[in-house]
Amino acid sequence: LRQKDYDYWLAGLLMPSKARRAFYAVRSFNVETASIVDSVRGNVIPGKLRVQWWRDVVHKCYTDGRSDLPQGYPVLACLADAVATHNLSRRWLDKSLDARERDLEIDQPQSMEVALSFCTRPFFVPGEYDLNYGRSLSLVLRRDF
Amino acid sequence: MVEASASFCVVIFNLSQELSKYCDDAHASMILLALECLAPAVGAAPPAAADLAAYHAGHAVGLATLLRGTAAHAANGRLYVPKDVMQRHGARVRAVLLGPEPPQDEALDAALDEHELDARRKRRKQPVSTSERKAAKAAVAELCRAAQWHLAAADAVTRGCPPPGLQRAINAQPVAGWYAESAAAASGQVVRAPWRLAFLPVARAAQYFEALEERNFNLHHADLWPSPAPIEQHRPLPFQLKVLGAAWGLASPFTV
Repeated sequence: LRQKDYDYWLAGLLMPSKARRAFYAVRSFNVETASIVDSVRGNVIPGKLRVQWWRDVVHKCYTDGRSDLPQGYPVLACLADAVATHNLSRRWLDKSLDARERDLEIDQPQSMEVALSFCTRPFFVPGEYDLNYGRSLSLVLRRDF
Repeated sequence: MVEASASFCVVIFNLSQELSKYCDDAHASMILLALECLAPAVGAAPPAAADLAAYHAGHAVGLATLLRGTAAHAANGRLYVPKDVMQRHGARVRAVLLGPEPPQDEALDAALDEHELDARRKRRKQPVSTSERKAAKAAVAELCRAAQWHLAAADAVTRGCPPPGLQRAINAQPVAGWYAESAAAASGQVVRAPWRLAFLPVARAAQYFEALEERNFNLHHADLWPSPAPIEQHRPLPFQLKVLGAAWGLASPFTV
């Protein structure tokens, strides 16, 4: 956590020791799930599977299936402890996973659109994908600069 | 064909609402969890004002994360500046993404014939014009101002005051209903020392937006673009002092 999320590691040091362990567990969970989106290139299916894996294990943390939790995942073990001792709201964990999943899904329509425009326009240049539909509006709003 | 183009597809949040939802779900939730982590040590449930401050702080942290990572996301074919913000300023993806030169895609180059390849090389060399740069900066500036407003709002809420320009905010936010309720519940509450610990890392976002403004909203300025580099190398001492000051109640984590 110190390497991946220095700011929160530093903040955790200043917390009371009771809170620190749970805080680090939550932040590690965040680092793990955020890295899913960053590691996806092109194909989103493996990313979605990993988000679903987290969804399943979070569900197990909250139901009585804690003994079924997969072994060998230190972040998961810490998170399960934090959930048990600190009464964390499941809603926030789920919302965070929802956000990661939407982040993965948002890829698809856009890539299709770009793929289509690539097929139909012979001179399509990546990076020149023009979004300048609202020029007349923008002229009014540009006066600050 | 799809394989080749997937590498440069541009991901844009279609609406600012989507961006707001992302910030709320991904970042504000984490601050709320941090508050819950502190609850047993304090021996009470977090106050309503802390929950509302988490909402605002989550927006600031989310925007800082997305803007700071622009270059890293671009390598993945993603851009998180919302489409409506770009359109409002007439900004083009190319101008926001480009620092030095357009992205290259070797797989795509190989698929093109000589004539097209020449045309593309020429366009790649074209510098982004001054007006394009201005439009891109204006779009970034809008996000930066939004984040700074959220920081100011979080600061005000933790002091027990209503956020600045509350009515305007309620008009602009899609969550007006619940927002008005929680603002009413939070008014007059001051978020005290142990709860403030959950907000310490927000100081990084405050510093980032201050620096972004100083550098004229240029996302690609060397001082602002450490996203491939580890963050602790980025101005460590001011941040450490700030965090310590905020932990001891000497300073607010939401201001620079």
